[in-house]
Amino acid sequence: MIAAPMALLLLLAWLLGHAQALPGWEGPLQGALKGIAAVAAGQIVGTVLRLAAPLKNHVLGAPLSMGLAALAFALMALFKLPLLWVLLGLGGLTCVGTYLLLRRRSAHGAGPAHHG
Amino acid sequence: MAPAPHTMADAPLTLADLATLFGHFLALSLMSIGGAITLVPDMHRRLVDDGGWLSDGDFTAAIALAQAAPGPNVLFVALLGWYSAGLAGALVCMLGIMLPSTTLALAASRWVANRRHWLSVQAFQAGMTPVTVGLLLATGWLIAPSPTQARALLLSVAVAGLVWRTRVRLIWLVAAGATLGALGWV
Repeated sequence: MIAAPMALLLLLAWLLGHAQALPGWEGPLQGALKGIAAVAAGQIVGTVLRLAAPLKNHVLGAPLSMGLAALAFALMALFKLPLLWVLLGLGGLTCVGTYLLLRRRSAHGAGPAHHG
Repeated sequence: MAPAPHTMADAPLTLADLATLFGHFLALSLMSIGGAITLVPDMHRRLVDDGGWLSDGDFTAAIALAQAAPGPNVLFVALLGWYSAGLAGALVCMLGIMLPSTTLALAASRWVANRRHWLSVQAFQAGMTPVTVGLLLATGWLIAPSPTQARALLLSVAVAGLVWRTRVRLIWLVAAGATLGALGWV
């Protein structure tokens, strides 16, 4: 079920590689790729903005959860740390903090822990 | 750019090279908590910054092409393999990313689904959300046009706004971006 789209995509990349060697084709094809890359980047950032909405209702509170997202971004994009460190370090801390808050909340009966 | 995918310094591809690539994607697959797209920054670090498997431009092109083409998102991994080490690279990278996530992750997601009332499972799911959002933002940052390309950046910002606020189909945005780019306006 993944073989067909994969073959299609590789064929496209192969064709693109050959077409760029043709005289007069390289400029427009490079330009089209640049345009598609700009759209892809925008699409991903747009998805982030949509995904950020649930952070407003996060157990840790909106400012902290958004700050943690920004920190994860900085560690990966700016400091180029290995993902494993970020997941175990920052992710681990965030999970433990969330767990403690959830436990305190359920102990106080403020909200049942049985809902997703 | 060469018509056929190139390898590192055009050295012949060895089995050890393919095993290295396979190992990278096997390891990455085990860390895919928010989907393969959140692994992009680490893939860039491993393949471009440290490994020199492919150029930054080819890395961006692989993700852009896969986002634009139909099919599951994870297929950008096949293109990364293709630009790194040809057809064998594409197959090895896909195998590496799919193998654990189709067996292990399936079992894990079932285990989690059966225990979603557990406080620890809820804490894990909620706790990882900010990290996942940050990783996705890093992915966008990585393939975004450089600040010197003002018009390309403008296009990215416009698309981000449209994706955020409207339900416009991605295929139209891709077509518009490709057309504008081919005409030399980006």
